[in-house]
Order: sequence, then C-alpha cells, then structure tokens
Amino acid sequence: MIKIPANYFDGHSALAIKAELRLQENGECQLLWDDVQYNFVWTEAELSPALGKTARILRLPNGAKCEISDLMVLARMEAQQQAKQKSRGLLYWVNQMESRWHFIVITVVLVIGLAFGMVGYGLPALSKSVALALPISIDQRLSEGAAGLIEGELFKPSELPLERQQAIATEFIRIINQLNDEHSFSLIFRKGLAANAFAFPSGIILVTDDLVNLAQTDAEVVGVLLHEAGHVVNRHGLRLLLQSSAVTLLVTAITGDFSASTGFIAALPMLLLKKGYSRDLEREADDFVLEYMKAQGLSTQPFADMLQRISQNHEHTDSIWQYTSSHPATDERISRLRQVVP
Amino acid sequence: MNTRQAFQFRGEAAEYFRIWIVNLFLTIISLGVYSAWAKVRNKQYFYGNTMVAGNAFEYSADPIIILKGRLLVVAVLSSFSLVASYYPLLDLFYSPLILLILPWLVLRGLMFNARYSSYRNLYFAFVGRVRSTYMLILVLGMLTPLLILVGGYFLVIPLFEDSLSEGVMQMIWLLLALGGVAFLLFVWWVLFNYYLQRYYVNHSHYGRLSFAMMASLKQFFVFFSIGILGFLIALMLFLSFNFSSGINKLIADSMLAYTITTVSIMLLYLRAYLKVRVFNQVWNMTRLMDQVDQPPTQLMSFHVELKVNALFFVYLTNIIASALSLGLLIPWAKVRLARYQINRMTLLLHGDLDRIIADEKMKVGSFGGEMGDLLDINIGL
Repeated sequence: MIKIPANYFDGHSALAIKAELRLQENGECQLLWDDVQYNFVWTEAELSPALGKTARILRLPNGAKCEISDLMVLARMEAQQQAKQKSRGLLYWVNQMESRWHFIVITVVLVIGLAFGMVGYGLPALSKSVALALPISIDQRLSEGAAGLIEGELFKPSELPLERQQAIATEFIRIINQLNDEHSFSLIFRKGLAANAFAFPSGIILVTDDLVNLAQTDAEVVGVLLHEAGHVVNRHGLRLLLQSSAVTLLVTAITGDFSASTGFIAALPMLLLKKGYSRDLEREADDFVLEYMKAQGLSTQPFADMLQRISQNHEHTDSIWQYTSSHPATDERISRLRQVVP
Repeated sequence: MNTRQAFQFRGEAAEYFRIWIVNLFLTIISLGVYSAWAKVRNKQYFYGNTMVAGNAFEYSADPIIILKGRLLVVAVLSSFSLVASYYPLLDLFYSPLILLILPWLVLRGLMFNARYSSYRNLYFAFVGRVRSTYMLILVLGMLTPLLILVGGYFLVIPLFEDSLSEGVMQMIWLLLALGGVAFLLFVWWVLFNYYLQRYYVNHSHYGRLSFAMMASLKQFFVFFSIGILGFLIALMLFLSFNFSSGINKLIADSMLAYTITTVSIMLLYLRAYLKVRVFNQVWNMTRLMDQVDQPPTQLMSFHVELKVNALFFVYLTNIIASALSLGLLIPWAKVRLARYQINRMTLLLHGDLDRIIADEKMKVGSFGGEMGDLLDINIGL
C-alpha cells in the first residue's frame, strides 16, 4: 500500500479538503478525510500528464478532483499500477523527452537545423511549386500597380534614339518568341533611376537610358533583358510574395503571444531572409541567361561584362549601405558567369 | 472578515524552456498537427504554476477538440480562397465575410477558454451575448474607425480640388480636418479599449460568482490622454534636439536606424504605461459578486500593483534577449513576464473562499458538442 497526501475538491464548492489517498497493490483506492472514506479503482480515475513540477490532477469517477503535489510518490504509484494500464500514452513520452537534458540538447540542435532547412530550402521549394501551379492571371494582378509606377514621377520619357530602341526591341522580341512562355512580354524604355532594369511579374520589362548608354553593344543590353525575363518566366514576383508571407506566418506561430513586439523582433531576421531570398532569385535568373546562351551557342561574356560595369557604376552613385550589402554578391555572380564562358 | 492571499507564479525558465522546445520540435515534425497538444501543454504549464491560497489553476481542454477546430478553420479558409481564385467576383466577398464571422469566433474562443479553466475544481464561464459581441467588435471595433477615416477623407479631398490661390486658408482647414480626425480616432481608441475590458470582465463567471468591473470611463480617458501626450512631447523633444542637423539627415541611412530605434523605445514605453494603468485600474476595480444572495454580496476583489518602469524594463530586456538569441530566449522572456505580473497580484477575500459554490446549470457539458467548442481564438486582453 502506498499513501500520499492530496487536496480534495468535490466540484460543488471551492472548499479544499486535506485528504489522504491510499493505493492498494490490487488497484483499489481509498480517499480519507475527517471520518469520510471514498472508494474507487485506480484505472477508473484519470491522472493528468506530468508537466514540469506542477501538481497533477486525479479526476475521480464521481466528478471530484484531487490535486497531488508529491510527484515522486505519485510516480511510484503509477509504476506499481503500470501493468494494468493499457498504454503509457503520448504525453508520457513527451514528458520523458522534456525531463532529460541530452534529449533537450538533441531537440535544440534539430529545431535549429529544421528551422534553417525549412526557411532556407523548404519554403523556397514549396513556394516555387505552388507558384508554378497557379494560373498566369495572378501575375497580371500582381502587376496592377506597374502602369502607375512607370508613368509616375520616377521616370521621364526615354531620350534614346529611336533606331537604338528598335534594334534592341527587335532582338528582344526574337528571343522572347523562342522562349515559348505564356506571359505577354513588353519592353519599355524610360529615363531615370540610374543604370537599371526591372521586370514586373506580368512580363513588362523596363530598362533605363543610363543602362543602355552604359552598354557597349546591344548584346550586353540583351543579356540584362534576358536576365529580367528569367525573373518573369520563373514567377519570381509571386514566389517572393509567397515566401515572405510564409516566413511571417512561421515567425508569428513561434513567437506566439508577443503580438505587439513581434514586429520588432521579427523585423531584423525577416529583412536578412528577404535579402537572402532575392539573392537566390538573382542567381536563378542568371542561370536562365546561362542556359539560353548555352543552348544558342552564344558567349556569356557580354552579360558578365555588363554586370561588372553596372556594379562599378553603382559604386559611384550609391550609398555605403547598398555598397557593402550587394558588392560581394555581384562579384560572385560575375565569376560564376565567367567560369562558363566557352 | 477580510483575508489577503497573494498570487504566486512558480514557473522556471529552464524548466519551461524544455517544454517549449519539445513542443516546437514535435509541432514541426508533425507538420503542425501536434500544435493542439502544444497549446494545451503550454497553457497547462502557466495555469498549473499560478497559485493562490495554496492551490493552482487548471486548464483541461482536450487537444483533439482543438485540433478538430484548427482543421476546420484551415479547411474553410482554403476552400474559400480556392473558390475565390476561380470566381474572381467572389473574392470581393471573401474578406468582408471573414470580418463578419470574426466577432462570433472571438465570442466562441472566450467561451471555450473559460469553460476549460478551473480553480479548485470550480469552473470559469464566459456568458457573452452574440448581439453585444457584434455591437462591440463589428460596430464599435471595426465600423466606427472606418467611418471616421472615410468621413475625414471626404472632408479633406474637396480642399485639394478648390483653387490653389487660397493657400493659407486651405492649410488651416487641412490642419483642422486632420486634427479633428486624429481627435475622433483617439476618442474611439479609448472607448474601444474600455468597452472591450468591460465586456471581457462583466461576462466572466467563476462558479456561481460573477465578475463586475467598476472602473470608470473617465479614468481610461485620463490614462490614455497622459500616455499619448507624454509620447508626443517626447517625440517633439527628440525631433527638435536632432533638428539642427536637418530633417533630411534624420532620414538618411546612418540616422535612420537611430531614429527608428528611439521611436520604437518610446512606443514601447507608451505600451508599458498603458498596460500598467489599465491592468491596475481594471483589476483593482473588479469585484466578484454572488448574485444569488439578495442583495448581491461581494465575495472577492483584487489588489494589483504593477509599476510602469519595472514592466517597461521587463518588456525591453525580453525583446532584446529574444531577438539576439534568435528566439531561443522566448521561454525565459515569457516566464519572467508572467512572474512579474502574477506576483504583484493579491486576492482580497471578503468572506470564506469555501463558501463559493458551483453554478449547477453552468457545469461543463451543458454546452458540450456545440460547434463553438471546436474553435479557440484569443483576443489580446
């Protein structure tokens, strides 16, 4: 027989009664207080799972409850009656994991590994397959603001000679027709925002006068345009959107009820992640150029030269912040392109 | 006969860390299925470590029910968005529909949470009416600020369509309109906070006792006015001290991080201030009444003494530690926040605790099987 002190609550009032629980070898239990005795069988009562050092609750068949704080003796009772129980239950094993430091160390390592794997590979792969399964019409909707941006105050009409525009456009259209992609591409020349090119998810590609002027040949401009087309074909706009909303969801799920301060905590890692994601997508768009050039038996040299020139150009104009963050990536991109030059 | 019983939180960071990390791990590898068990275990840890008069609170929700609720919500939401992606017109109704069912979900969530919370085997209950929930959350919470903003928009827009010759008058009108909108939004903010707290407290029951909030709206206006004025003055001081270098420099790269950090810290202090004032006021002015007695007798009240600077310090160090540890110190942060809040609460008994009895018609099970049982949603209170 094992004896243990218990707080008895009858469920009808908030009265706490100091009682003693006695468990016989055969599973019969007696709960004793004052001159009252309540009998029941161990297997008919329900014991709450162990959780840290919190008191455990024994739910009795009559709806009353016992709060038991002596966890050591209670564990002995459980062990004694274990043969009669059907199974230990999931939460028994959860508690075993929680109670052992070597399990915890392994769990921490696994969680960190899984988090990195999920954020680094899982989510990008998932958002890629989701994006590719969604209809092209979504890309159109993502680009609804494009017209306003292009016609807005950021840009002025292009001052490039019409012949140059036409020569580049003709070459661009020729390549696009070979791609056999569902997006409806269009090319727009504008003045402003230094040497730059942008792609909107719907297939609108905008190139600035400065970029065209920076190029020594049209082949160099076409390389950049193809890179932008790579963003469109591979649905990068949609993927970036899916990825960042998934990360937001994940961070919120983990940080939970931090609510107002979550924004503050999440801002920094989110910014870093976004930077990492867009770097990966740049690489993918470069690969798109590489594959096209390879299939056509063309050199990637002009595109690599152009990237080099753009990055040097930006060094002169841009602030220190952008310089430090994008510079190594650009170097890496150029050397990747140079390696495959035939 | 009056007795005082201090609340006590017994949780420990190292112990909770182990529970938290195992929860996280099992949730990830089960692709979210375990999250229902994780939620229950998490809540049980905080309830089970909150003690008063020698006994702990208990949370006894069944994870299977929570899991079913979560699956239902996921199924409904994803089928909605699937249908909407094929019939774009339905997309228009999608978000309003979610907003329309939100108050109902909030009510169900509060009922669910209370029904599975108990102390000394007596259960809490939340008895809110659907109508008053919709009045509070949909009408006051969502439609009123929308109305103020839309009204303000239509008040300001005509100013820009007039001839530009009356530049000074136009500026004055614009400032008046913006000031008016800001003032109305402030009044709305205070009203919503007050009625949300009152809704929550006044519909709560413990056994046969009902909670009653005596805090006045006037007090809320005083706290919120002091808070927002203090914040605005601090902001002005900060801007004027740095204004010598020019506003352009202030939003330039190097200064941007400094500006954002300073303003965030000011906002955090405002948050701590409002939390402390509201929390103290609400709890100190809450009574537990036995409505069955005639006249109703007051059985319990609370004495709470949170301090603004202390809570702000806990908030600030929690955020810094959580961010720098990439989230690994979140359990430590949660435990110390709970410890600070709970350890500064005292229960005042104006009678015998043992005299409190269950409300037989509100016992668990009488609501059982309802659809509402499936949902658990928390609102930030």
